[in-house]
Amino acid sequence: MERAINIEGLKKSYGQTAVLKNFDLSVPSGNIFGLIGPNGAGKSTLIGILTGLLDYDEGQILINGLELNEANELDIKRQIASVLQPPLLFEHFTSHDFLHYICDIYEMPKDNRQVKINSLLDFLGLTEFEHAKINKLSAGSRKKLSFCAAILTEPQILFLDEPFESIDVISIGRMKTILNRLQEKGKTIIITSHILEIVENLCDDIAILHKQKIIAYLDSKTHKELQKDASLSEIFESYVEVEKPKSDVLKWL
Amino acid sequence: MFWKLLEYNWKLFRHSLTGAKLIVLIVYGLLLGTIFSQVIGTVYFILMLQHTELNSMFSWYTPARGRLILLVFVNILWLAQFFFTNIRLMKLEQNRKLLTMGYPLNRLSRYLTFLAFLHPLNLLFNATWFILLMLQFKSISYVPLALVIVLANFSLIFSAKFRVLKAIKNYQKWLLVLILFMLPVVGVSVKELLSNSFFMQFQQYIDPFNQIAAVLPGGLVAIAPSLSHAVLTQIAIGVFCLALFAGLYFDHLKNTRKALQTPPSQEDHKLKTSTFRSWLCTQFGDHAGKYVYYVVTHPYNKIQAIIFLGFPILYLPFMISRIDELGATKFVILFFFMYAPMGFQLMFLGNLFGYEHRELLQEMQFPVPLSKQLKQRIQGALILPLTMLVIVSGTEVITLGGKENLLSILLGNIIIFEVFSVLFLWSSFYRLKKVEWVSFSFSQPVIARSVQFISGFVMMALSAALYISYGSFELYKDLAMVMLAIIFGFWIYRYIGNIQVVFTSKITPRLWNEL
Repeated sequence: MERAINIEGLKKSYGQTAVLKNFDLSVPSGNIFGLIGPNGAGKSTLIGILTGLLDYDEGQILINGLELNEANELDIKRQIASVLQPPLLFEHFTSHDFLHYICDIYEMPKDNRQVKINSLLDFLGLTEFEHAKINKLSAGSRKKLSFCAAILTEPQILFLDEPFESIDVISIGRMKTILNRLQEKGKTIIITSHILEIVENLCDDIAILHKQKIIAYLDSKTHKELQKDASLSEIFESYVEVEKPKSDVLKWL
Repeated sequence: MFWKLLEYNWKLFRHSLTGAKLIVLIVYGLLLGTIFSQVIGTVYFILMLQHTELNSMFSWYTPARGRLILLVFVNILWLAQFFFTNIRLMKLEQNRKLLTMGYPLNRLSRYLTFLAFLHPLNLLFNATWFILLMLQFKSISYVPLALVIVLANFSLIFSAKFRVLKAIKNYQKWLLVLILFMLPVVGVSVKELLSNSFFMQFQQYIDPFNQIAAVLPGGLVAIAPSLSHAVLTQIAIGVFCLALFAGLYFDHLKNTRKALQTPPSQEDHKLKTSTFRSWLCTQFGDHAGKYVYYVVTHPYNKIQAIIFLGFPILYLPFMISRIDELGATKFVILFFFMYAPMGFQLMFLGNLFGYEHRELLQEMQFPVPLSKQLKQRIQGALILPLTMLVIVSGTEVITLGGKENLLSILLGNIIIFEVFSVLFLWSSFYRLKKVEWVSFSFSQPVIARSVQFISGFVMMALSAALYISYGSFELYKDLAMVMLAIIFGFWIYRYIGNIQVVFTSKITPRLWNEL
């Protein structure tokens, strides 16, 4: 099976603090891949490295068979897109201007650009904000707009860092529809989220990141099997081995 | 609770200090200290000139002329205080958070109002006034009266400046039109007023001028001691000043409360103007165009542009007409010539990454080499300053040709431009400051005031070093300048070539960590 992402021996530290240590991960192509872990586990750092925003200390990273280095930088960037938390938007642009700017940068043909933009904005309930300044939008609208911008470029690999936080339930459903459609076209999607109910229903493979490395990899068959007896949340807790607090620790409350 | 507020703000201040910023702050502090001591010395001299036998050493001295000197000085001091008084409410955005942590609104407003008084610049000005008054009162029993007068003056300035800046912000376009229209008129008027015939008849203007200057704000503060001989007058002045201070204090307190409860709304820049941005992107490239768009549309920069253009336009015609009288100080003309290019360099280069800040993380993901984006940005930032440099150099050739060593002047221009390019590039990387787009942009400048302040002094020092004539060593000076220009140019070229490395190590982590 082809691998969209292959990571071996990745190390990343902030000063003396190791965030990722001898980190290995392999993500199959065409997979909706869930990456979960406790706060501070390194999920966002990993996304930052894979999207080229952060340097790393050691290791080898292959994205769609291309090694992540300066020589392949452009080829890789043409194939990926991301929605980070919080989303990165151009505050003083309107949504319309922002999306067109993205299209210009990615050298997308002008003829059907507006049609694509209109359809995305309409699908996600953002049409009324098309000509509003981005800095006036709510948190949820900004997240959806960032999602639109990422989808517009039709990436091969899509990185989504907590994409469903602040989003209303209807829009979550529509975003999931878009993601499923992308998967049908063979695209790879990597999602990090703390909303495990969505992860367990949406994702094929799931990896649990804890203490600087992957401690559990649940492929599609395995996690669906396990979920017959326990929720993903319970499975997560069992792997992460969080020490249960003493029953009287909050007796003052 | 006051000490907790101080502790919190001290930690905010300490956290914002990088190694480079600390050095700048120390230099800035030393400069301020030097200026303060010079001003106090001048105050002492002027007062001694009026009231002691010192005046017998100057044949031109008359009581009216002595009074003129005092009144001109104190009114300039008052204007300087108005201009430089710092009205920034101590990190309002951060202190507002205290409201959610049990800090009462009224108490926080009072403490912040008090803390605003303690800004070093504000303290220096008020100390100057206090010393000026006490040198005239000559008795320690007048300390309360002097304090009340100083407080009333400060609160008046504080309140007036707040409103003036608000008016400037609301009417800045009309103000710009007015200034551009008035500048030539004022320039011609000043030239005529200071003409030879005016100086010869100057004596007849002293008394009327003194009468007017005495009722201007600076004059009123300075002459208060001379009016305070009678006890009743002292009481009247004291009560009036206390009432003024109290009224303005409560007015300011009200505004502080309102500001604390009103999160800043982002400026709604009505850019009818995605056309303007598109044009900029077409001319300069997508990345440079977007950056230039943010710079030129920021409200603070609009005012800065007026200042950078206005001063040279106002002063240069007059100074050029008097170039033969300036002697060794004619380098000041060249200083004013380079004021605009330097000012625009500051505007465009001084904070390359603060306007877009985290938006840059989005741009880093674009399928465009980061090095290309950064180079394009710097090129875009240099276009207007370079244009100004060419215009200025051409104007110098036309106006000064035949009078001065033009080669030396043009080399000096290039070196100054290069030095400030280096300085402001350094500022961009090592003094990254997130640009705020709040409604009161003028109180939150996009370039730290200390950098602006030091730039002025560096500019003056370079002008003095590069533009003065070295007599028989002029040829060697020109050769040395050619070498310097080449060295600086090469350094800039290499720096821009390696800029991606510096960006990745200095800027990216900061932008990422602010997620």
